Amino acid sequence: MTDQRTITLRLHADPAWIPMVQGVAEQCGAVFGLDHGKALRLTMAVEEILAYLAELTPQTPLELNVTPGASHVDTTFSFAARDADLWAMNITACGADCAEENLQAMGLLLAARMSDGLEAKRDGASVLLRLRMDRSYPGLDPRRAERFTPRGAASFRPALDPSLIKEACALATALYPQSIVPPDFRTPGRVVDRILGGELFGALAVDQGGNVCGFMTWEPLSATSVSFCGPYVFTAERAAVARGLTEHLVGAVARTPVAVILSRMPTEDLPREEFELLGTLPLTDADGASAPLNIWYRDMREDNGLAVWTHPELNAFLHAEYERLFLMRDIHLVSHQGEQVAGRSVFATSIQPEASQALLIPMLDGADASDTLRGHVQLLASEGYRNILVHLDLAHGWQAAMAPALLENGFQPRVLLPHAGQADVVVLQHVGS
Amino acid sequence: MLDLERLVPAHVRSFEVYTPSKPDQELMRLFRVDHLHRLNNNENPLGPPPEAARIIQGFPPRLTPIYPSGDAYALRQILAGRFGKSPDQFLVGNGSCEVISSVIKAFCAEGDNIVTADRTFAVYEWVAEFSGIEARLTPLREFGFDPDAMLAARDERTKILFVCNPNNPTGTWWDTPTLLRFLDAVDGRQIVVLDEAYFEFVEQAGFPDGMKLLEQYPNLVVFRTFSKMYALAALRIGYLCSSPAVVDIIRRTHVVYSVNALAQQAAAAALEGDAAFVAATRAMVTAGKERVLALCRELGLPCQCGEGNFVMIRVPCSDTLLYRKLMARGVMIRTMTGFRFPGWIRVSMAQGEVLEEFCGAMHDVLRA
Ligand SMILES: Cc1ncc(COP(=O)(O)O)c(C=O)c1O
Repeated sequence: MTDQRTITLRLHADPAWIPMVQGVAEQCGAVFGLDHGKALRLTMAVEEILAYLAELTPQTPLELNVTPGASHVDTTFSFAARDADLWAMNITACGADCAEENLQAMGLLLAARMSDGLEAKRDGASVLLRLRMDRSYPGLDPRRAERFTPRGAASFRPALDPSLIKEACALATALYPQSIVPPDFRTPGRVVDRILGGELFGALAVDQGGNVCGFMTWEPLSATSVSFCGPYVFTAERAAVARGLTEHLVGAVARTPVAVILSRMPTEDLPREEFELLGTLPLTDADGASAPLNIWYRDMREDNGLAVWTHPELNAFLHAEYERLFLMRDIHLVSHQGEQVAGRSVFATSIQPEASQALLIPMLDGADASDTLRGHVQLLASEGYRNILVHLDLAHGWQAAMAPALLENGFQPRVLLPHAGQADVVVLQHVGS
Repeated sequence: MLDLERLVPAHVRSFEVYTPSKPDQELMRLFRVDHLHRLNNNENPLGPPPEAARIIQGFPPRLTPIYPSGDAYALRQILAGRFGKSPDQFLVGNGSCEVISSVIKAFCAEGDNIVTADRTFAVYEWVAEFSGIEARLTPLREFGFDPDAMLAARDERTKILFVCNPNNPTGTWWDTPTLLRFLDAVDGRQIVVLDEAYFEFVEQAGFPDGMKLLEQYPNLVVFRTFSKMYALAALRIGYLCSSPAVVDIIRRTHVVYSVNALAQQAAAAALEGDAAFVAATRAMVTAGKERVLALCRELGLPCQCGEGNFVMIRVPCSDTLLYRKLMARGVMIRTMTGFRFPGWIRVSMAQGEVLEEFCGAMHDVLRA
């Protein structure tokens, strides 16, 4: 994801370089359009990360990339790590002599707090930490709106015109509950920048008089899936506009590598007969109010089956879900049978502060998986994260084998996402977090 | 170290790999069924024609060490006789899919584009895109190719216009005046490909025969295939016909020896006294359409039934979900999401008892 404007720095995990990294972050922040406050937060966040890495993998070669996005600045730290060193990626990781209250060990969490998103990924031996810092945009002036009668039939087109996109954001915000409108819509300038920058895609319904009748947005979720918000419909007669927008989305991703589309914030206007309900995540919003989230999906191609792994303890859940969804799978059982499991377990944590959500993804199996999970839950709960989720990719037997450790620690399987990873993904949620 | 990022052009990196369906045995095991009716590929289950069957059964193994005719010499003679053309007006390919690729390679360079419809046979669009050529897609109008929209989509870099007549999957077609008006408007500025893969199924009087227009329009290229009516899909053989000058150009980008000897012989035999076989197939298709239209009335489902050996049905659920449910009953249909018709399926016509099974499965699944 480097582009020509990326600023790259090669260095070592050594605290001596903290001032240099801070300088780079501050300068890049300013040049790439962050305001002073955001640039300062970025400066503090990179300091935390470097200090953290210096303690946990001293002197490891690092590459720092700062890249301007359409509406944000991406800062990534990448480094190679042997399995034995990867445990450092656990947000609960601690140096040999660090006590649990030692804030230094919470460097990743602190960095997450200061940023607009923190993501950790591993691909073979290379590990990537990505910090997202959003540019500031003026908020939308609250306004009232009522659904109207369009002039003539609506036509459907890609959302490219900034004034129509901003109008659509304002109408969606006025007409739909906050919980199903992406926070970005309240800063329409960001939506325009993201669409024109190719990070977000949209469809608009426009009537003969040029009035915006509806809006829908989507973005890549993985290499083969997209997630969508909407459809948002502004006319009194809603079904035809909703259907047109949804068909536009399907047409846009048909004949591309996208295999499935999944809802992120579906509205009641979604033509449900065209989709399948995967389940409902009983989420809680940042203010503590209940915000259950339906997850709808549709295949873009014929699903001709897959092989997946499962642990016996998840078998009943999976069988029931596969049966209900009419998905054909060769389910192979896997469990620990007394064999030695080497090393320590590692989980990557991705954090979305505005949704009070932390997502754990297993990176490495280990005999201590249950303890590691307990530590993660304690730490995230004490940080106030209300929604703690785990994704298990059933293409990997070792991930499936983690089921008992998850169940022991209060996680429950909630939703099965077909083809959302290398194979299907099970979402587990911590109960009572 | 292998550096694929650098080796692979962007238009290939972003291209979707077409995943053909798994072998029947594997599908039957997965869906736990003991039989599978393929109503997904517009094949002709009555085939092959008897003469072709005889050739296939009698193919002497001693011939396999020997290369086939590199340019389907004998078959082109037979095609020339049948259509009243000269043999050098034909180019035979490994399925008509191969000649799509040859035409695009012959006429398009980087920066050029082709024009076709958004909801038609996908291979025109695919071959263009993985060759780095822009495919301009015009929306269908009332399920049919829109000639004005196609003409308007052209610019000075447009090289080829692809028209599928009748269209797969909608079965819509241009009549002779529409086609002539289109060809006159193009006026030789672009190559016009008329894909007549389903020509032999058509019985409509006003349906244009591209073969008869080649003298008048030297920029016209007609595609035909042995995969559909002649039921030789497994052997992969199809062809194009155009003016000698145009064929001479396309031949330069066409792989010789791509069509195997058995396919060439079987195709030639398929044309011999084919009238009875064609008539029987047409009767099966007509009866099949009546049965499927009755099903649609029974279930209150809108459908789109035109020319060709297939019918599109609007279903009251996700087409991809319906696919899985029908597969679990041993019936394989084609979902239309990939054709940009979400919520529709396409069903190929087959023998009465097979379609009866399809209708029964539809009743079970949609009433459940
Ligand atoms: C319109 C159309 N053209 C061409 C083909 C490809 O045929 P062939 O088997 O000759 O490659 C098909 C097959 O589905 C088709 O529907």
